[in-house]
Amino acid sequence: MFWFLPSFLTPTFFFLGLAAISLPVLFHFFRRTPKGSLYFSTLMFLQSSPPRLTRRSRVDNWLLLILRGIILLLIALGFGRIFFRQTDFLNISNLPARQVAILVDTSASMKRGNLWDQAQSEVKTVVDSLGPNDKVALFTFDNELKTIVGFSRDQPVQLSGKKDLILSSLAGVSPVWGPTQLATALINVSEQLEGVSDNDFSDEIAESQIVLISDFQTGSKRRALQSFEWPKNISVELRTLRLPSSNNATLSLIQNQGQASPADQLRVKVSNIEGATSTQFDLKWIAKGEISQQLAATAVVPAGQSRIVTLARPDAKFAGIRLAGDDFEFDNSFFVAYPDPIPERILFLGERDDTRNQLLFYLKKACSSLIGKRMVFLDERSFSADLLPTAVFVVGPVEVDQMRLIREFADNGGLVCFVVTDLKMEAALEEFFQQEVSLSEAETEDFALLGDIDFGNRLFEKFADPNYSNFASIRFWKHRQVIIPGIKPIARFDNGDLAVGGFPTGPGIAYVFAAGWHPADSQFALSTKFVGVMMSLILKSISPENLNYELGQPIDYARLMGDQDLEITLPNGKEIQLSGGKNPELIPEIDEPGLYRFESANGSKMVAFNLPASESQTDPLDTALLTQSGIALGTMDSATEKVEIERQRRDRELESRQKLWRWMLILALAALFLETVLSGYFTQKQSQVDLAKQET
Amino acid sequence: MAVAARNKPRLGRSSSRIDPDSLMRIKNLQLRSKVVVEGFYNGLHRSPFHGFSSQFSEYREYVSGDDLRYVDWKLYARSDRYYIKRFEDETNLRCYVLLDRSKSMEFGSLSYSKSDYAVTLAATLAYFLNKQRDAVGLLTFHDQLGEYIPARYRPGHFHRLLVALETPLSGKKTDLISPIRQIAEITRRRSLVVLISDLLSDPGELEKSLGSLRSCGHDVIVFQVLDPAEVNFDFQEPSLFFDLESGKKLYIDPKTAKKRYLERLQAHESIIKQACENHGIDRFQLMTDRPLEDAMFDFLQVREFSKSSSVHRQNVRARGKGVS
Repeated sequence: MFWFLPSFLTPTFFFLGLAAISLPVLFHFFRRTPKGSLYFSTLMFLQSSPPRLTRRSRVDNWLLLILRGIILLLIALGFGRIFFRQTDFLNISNLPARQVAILVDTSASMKRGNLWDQAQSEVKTVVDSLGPNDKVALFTFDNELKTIVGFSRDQPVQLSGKKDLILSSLAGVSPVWGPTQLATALINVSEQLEGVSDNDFSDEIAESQIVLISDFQTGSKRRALQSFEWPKNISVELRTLRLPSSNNATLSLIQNQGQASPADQLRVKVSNIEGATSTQFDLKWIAKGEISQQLAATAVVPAGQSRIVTLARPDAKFAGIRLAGDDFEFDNSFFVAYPDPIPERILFLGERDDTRNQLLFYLKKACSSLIGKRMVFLDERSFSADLLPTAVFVVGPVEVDQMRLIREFADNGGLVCFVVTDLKMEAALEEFFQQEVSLSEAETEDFALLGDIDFGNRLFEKFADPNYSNFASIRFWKHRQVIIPGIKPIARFDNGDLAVGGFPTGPGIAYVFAAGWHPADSQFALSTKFVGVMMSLILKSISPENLNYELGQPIDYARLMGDQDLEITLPNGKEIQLSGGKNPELIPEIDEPGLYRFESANGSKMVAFNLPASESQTDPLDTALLTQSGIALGTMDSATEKVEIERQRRDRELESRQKLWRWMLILALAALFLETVLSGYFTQKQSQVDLAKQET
Repeated sequence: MAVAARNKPRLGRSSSRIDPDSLMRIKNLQLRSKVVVEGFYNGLHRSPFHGFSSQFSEYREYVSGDDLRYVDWKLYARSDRYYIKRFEDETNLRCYVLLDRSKSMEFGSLSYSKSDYAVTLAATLAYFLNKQRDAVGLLTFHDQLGEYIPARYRPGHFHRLLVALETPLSGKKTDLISPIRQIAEITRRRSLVVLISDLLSDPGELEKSLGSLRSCGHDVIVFQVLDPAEVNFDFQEPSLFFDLESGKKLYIDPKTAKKRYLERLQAHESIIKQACENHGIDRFQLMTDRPLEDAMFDFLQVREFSKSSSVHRQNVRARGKGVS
């Protein structure tokens, strides 16, 4: 074995012990002061009389003094945990390799202030602390994760090369307008890190770490983490970016559910973040890219709250609103587009008498109070394949040819509802269902009641709550026995006959009612349940056109514009073409808030894309919430710190193997014993000399 | 004093005195004073004769409205005139105890301090005088005046005195001048003033203050309470001495400092003694290891002497007026 210079695991104790060696000597010289102290009533009769130095002030016995010094030295060596280092000093190049994933937030909230500059300098700090063997990758995330520099074998070997690669790659990146999908990004990066660990060079990897650089705003989406089991071998270091100011307010549109707002009004919600100091905000219209000088409205919103503001809407079908009064501009522009009011078309086949006590009368009443939308009730002559209705109600006999068209409509997902009020409908039903259908008038003594209702079905699910599930008060005077093979019963009468049934037709369902809701058949139309059932029946097929979206939100372009070639004019005037039939959910070019013009063979529409509302929630997130999601938080040590930690770990191992402190303490005890013996001997000898002197 | 002339006890030292060390173990101050006084009474030899409680002074011619009880009928029989017998005006004694509560009194080489001893002495005197229906007052002092309780004889007054005596030491230095002047100003009537202190302060103005007290007609007794260690200075080991009052500290080797200390203490005592003698003040040095009954004997001896000389002076005055 080759031994080098002695080292100490706890050098503080050693140096304290060294200092203690001087104490016996110092005690000798400081013994001039008397040991005792005494409180006396008065010193008025006393004069200072310092005790004279005695021989004890000088060193009497050098041997004992040296021995005591050795004892203290041995104790100091023992407590200093002395050991001998036998290997060379640890070098930075000998450090085991780590894989470090730098994950930088490029969501819209990072456009605030100098956050992006802070993020870049943080990346530089992280890169500077890397060791030569470390593997590093750079990811950015907003709505999706982007790999800027991946873990690949063709990474530069030299540390400087890696640093240059990361920093030069980062220079070409800037924050975009997307939302902060924090959870998705973390999960994806952790999976990539695990994938790298599983590769063939995993032996070299000592640990995996993610350095997450973000502003950690509360709008960050982190729900997916709750259902994800975080890998134990990956730790995350959070590097939080902060700005001194925290005032931020934002706008969002209040969309009416199914009911269009008055044509001349627009309702927007002004939200102010928690802890903001600004509370007054001005709203102005943006017309043709320029902010109007005229104030549209002023909103006073306390911190952490929101207020609804109703604005007088301009005539145009689209507009922009600008908010002023907060510190950050990135989310202050809001765009809105209004769809053309298109009436819903309902085809009603059968008795078109809409006088009181007729089926159509109650259906119209229900629809008008139902959705507030303009409804147009068509007859059989208006039905054509070019202009399809929202729903088809068949309440009487229909010609077979027309039934074929209706079947085709149902196969394409259209809503068809049969109300069997006439036994002559049998032929039409057979044509529709393409199978034998049996209709007969049911015999009831007095009235029938709904006995068995499937509250899991969409028609009745609103009434599943026991407070509303009582249908026993609705009496059916007459109904028909309807037997259609394969039909799924939704409700049955108390005598077991089918009351309401559903028959799947491709993507849609055809409903069959065995009795009418009008008073001639039942009390159904007069009950409070009727409107609810009709609402459930019709609303599915009514979908108000939405022209306001958030960036990063998947959009069914085919539904919006038809399955045609599409030309999109971006807010900056640039045009892009999309061929029909591809139907992408996200178009990469739609990447900033504004009004986009969509043009196809079906016409032209302005569509508003806005910043995701979550991005405006810029108040800081409590990072402890990430820990609750199971993420192992940690800190990334720099290479030099790592060397120091590694050196200490090796020292501890070496010292625990050698255990020299035991020998030091044993030697100290031995020296203490020797000192005791010698001290006793010298004292005895001295007393003998004193006795001899007295005798003489 | 209420103890009549013929009923006066003959004073003598009792051999059954209580050891102060044992006495101080009694925590209750009232009980402590009671023990001393009761023990002291047991040691007195009482006279078997009973007499009047007042001394005859003079005759005066009766005037309308005088109390007929005081008419001397024998003299009327002899002279056929009404005369009223007048007696010496014997009011109860008014005694003020001046108690030093400075920091220096906190010193004690025994199991108790000078302050404990002085407080017990004050309480004992108060109890004794209270038992004889005399009015007792209290004035404590350090560098300022402390508690002041006027001399009274009434139920509960003794308890008030005890409460005042049991307040903890709060002062620092000793100022003998102000309290003595203060008591001279407060007490208009002739009183007995008992000063209990270690007198370990500058004696310069003490003589003037005592003189002013005497000039007001007050009888003054000084009990100088000292610890044996202060008188003998028999410390052995060199030590760092802290002054209890000033906080000053000195390294003292007792072997070398003792002689000088005793000389200066002696000189200090001489000044005080001279000052007391100049004004006819009785001064007693009480070592804290001495039984408290000694102090009581000293006190009573002084009172005995003072009383007899006072009666003597009164008789001389009565004879001078020619009425007998």
